[in-house]
Amino acid sequence: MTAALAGVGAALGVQASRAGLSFGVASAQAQTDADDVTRARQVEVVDASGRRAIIIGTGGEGNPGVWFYDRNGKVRLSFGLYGDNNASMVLNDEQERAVEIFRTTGTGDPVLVLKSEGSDRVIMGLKGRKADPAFVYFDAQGRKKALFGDY
Amino acid sequence: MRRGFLVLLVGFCAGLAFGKPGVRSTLSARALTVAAAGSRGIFAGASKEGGMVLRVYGARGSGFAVGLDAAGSPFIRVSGVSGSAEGGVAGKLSSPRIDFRRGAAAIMTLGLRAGERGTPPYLTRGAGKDKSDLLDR
Repeated sequence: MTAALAGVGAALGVQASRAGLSFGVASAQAQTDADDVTRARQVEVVDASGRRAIIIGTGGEGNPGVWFYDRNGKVRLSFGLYGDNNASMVLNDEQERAVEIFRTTGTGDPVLVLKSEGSDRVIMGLKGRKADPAFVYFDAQGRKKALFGDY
Repeated sequence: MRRGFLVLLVGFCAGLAFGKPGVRSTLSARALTVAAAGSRGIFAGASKEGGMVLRVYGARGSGFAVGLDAAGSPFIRVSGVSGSAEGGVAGKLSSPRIDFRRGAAAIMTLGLRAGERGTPPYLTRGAGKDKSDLLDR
């Protein structure tokens, strides 16, 4: 009977340990111990007031990424992979609209896009099977112009 | 009854102490450091300037940094092998501008004139008096 109770207790303890419960003080404090590998579904870096500042985790499609939040809780910078495995690095304005996007498309062609108020203003990168360079932009009147190549 | 509870509690504590940690749902901290052998590796946390930064350290001070400055504006900075803040072959992305730098001077810049009507783009090369815009207004 005693052994059975101890066994049940031990099993519960192991499960609690796997769920992240430990004897130590939990989160939001600087950790000074070094583990070879720390595994988590999500890593959150908080600022001095405990507010979420950086998230390292996965997006809605299971894609890995890193997100930086400003003091208003808006994502201002992110980098990671899209659901189709293309890589991206995105800088956002205060309304969380993308203003600079550096990413790969299709089979890995690199593209850089500068945007203003949601509209593309500069697009440059390599395109197609021959990876032809292209640079197009939109002038103050919104007319599309190509310095070389096309998008 | 009381003895049974004590036995259960001791067993629970033993399991907690010796149980193999699994995958946590969320790990929360003020700073995150990944230390490579003989170097600083990766750091994520508050920057000296009052923002938040993720730095990847290379040899002799070179490296890669992304984050938000104290005003909340995002930046990406690549430092050259010379070890200076933006020395060697370096690039800096800030909203909405990209600088290609050598030392302190930006020798090519691509960006948008955010304060002007239509936010026209520019692509300049050279510095000082030799600076010229390659795009039509």
